[in-house]
Amino acid sequence: MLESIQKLINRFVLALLVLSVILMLGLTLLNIALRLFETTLVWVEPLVRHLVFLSAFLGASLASARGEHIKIDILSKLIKSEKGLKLYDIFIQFFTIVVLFFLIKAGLNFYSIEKDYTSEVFLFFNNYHLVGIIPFGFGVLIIQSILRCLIQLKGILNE
Amino acid sequence: MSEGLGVILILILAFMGMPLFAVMGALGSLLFYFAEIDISAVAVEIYRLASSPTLLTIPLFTLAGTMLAKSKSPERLLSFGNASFGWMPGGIGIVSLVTCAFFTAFTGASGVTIIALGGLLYPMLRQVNYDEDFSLGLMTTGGSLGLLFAPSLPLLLYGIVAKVDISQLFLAGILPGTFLIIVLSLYSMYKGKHFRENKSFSSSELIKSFMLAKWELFIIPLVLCSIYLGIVTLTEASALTAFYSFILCFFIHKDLKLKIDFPLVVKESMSLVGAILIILCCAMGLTNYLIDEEIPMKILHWIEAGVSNKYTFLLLLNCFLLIVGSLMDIFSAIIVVVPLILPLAVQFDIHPVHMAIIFLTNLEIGYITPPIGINLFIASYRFDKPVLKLYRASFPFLILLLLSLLVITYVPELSLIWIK
Repeated sequence: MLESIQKLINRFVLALLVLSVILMLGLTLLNIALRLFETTLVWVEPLVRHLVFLSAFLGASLASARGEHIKIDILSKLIKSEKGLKLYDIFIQFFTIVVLFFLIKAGLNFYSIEKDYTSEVFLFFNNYHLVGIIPFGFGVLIIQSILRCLIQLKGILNE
Repeated sequence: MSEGLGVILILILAFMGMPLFAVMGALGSLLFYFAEIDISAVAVEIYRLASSPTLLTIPLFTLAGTMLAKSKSPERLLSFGNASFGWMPGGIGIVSLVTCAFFTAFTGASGVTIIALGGLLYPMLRQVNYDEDFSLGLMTTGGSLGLLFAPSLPLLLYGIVAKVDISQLFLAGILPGTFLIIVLSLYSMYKGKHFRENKSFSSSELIKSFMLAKWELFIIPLVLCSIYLGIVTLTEASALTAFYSFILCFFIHKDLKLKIDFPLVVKESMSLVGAILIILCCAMGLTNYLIDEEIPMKILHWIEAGVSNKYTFLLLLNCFLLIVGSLMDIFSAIIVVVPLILPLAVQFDIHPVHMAIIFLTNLEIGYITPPIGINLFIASYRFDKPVLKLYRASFPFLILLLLSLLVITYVPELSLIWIK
């Protein structure tokens, strides 16, 4: 069950990433081509920057699911048993989840401030839409971390 | 709970293996909290990343590198290299170094070079009688050799973090990067002088292998020329490179299949990009806090009390960066350390571009510096050899690179010759 949910989320994230990469690449190339006709789409550059920003969170959430985040890991190398490693991972994930909770709160506070002073940035995107990437991104990350924790816990209980 | 205790607890968690993005986020949030600033300030700082104009270069160059590494490009380049230099004494060593440098420039020394090329190059080196230690040492060192060449991910990240012109960094890396390859190539030739390679030069083989590898060989000239001839901007060059690699891998050579391999390439490259950029996002708050609190200036005053000479400072800096490089991942090191040392570099009148090259050369060497240089562990895993053997095998390469580092540090012209 938990693994299925994780797979489903990973598929959704990967689909978003593929779409985002195609858009980043396609729109930038379109702007290069349009320059030949001495015109340019001014909204492409900020849109692409925000797609990269969104992709950073989505890519990081895939790294979370696979436990592949960059870290200074010294102590876990001393643990020999698989069960011990899983428990250790849960312990670390717990603190990561706590931090993510505060980061989501920070993102939501920023989002509500921006919503009070709304303005259009480019195309049909308002400032709070763009700022909303932060709580959304950390939200996906916290879900992935919780799922990973629960899957590890299930593994221990099944042993 | 006091500020100091909170920081210590977070640092303990960092050494216990908490992801670095969470460490940075926690430190930023805690410090803002104690400074009685609303937590939304952390998000405001994170959002600053979305305004970086060169941000797009990171995912697109990484995408291009991942596509090339997953295709049969390494084999084609290797066969061209072999036809060009394979007949020379030590030629296979040179071919291995150049091929590793090319792929590291595209894959950002993320271990891909050792994993992807190890299986091809190691047997070739052994076949022409290079001893096991030399072959292992060369592969371990080769895993980070092309870091100074465009469009390597650490160069891009350094430019974004330090706000240095990335196109200048691309130019500045050419001579020091080539210098490192020449030094190691001479060592390869020295080691290979006693045995002649078992093949002779063949112009038909050279032409045939060139025709196969010609598309890959055009990539770096395409990137550099399109930028410096003013045809495209840096971000546009990254899009062109990704598109060129896409057409090359999926349609010209047809090494990869669109439906199966494209999502895999996106998954692999974007996981790496995400893991790096999320640290950069979360570190924005922390670095800004440190700068507001004038921490780099306090470090500067402390250093100035003991060091007044630029050359002594550079020597100490090299020692410090080598330790950082052997302990920390290159991307985290750039994000955390660069904002702290930049004001020091300015104070000691070191050109920011030269500083970047010194910094990245140190971290490049850090990859093979015992006890925990990451390439030593990747090579140990890839070639199934004990890490201690890798320490011994890489030692001569480490010494040569350290000597080269001194040249790069004390001869700034090597980095700045093309910089106005």
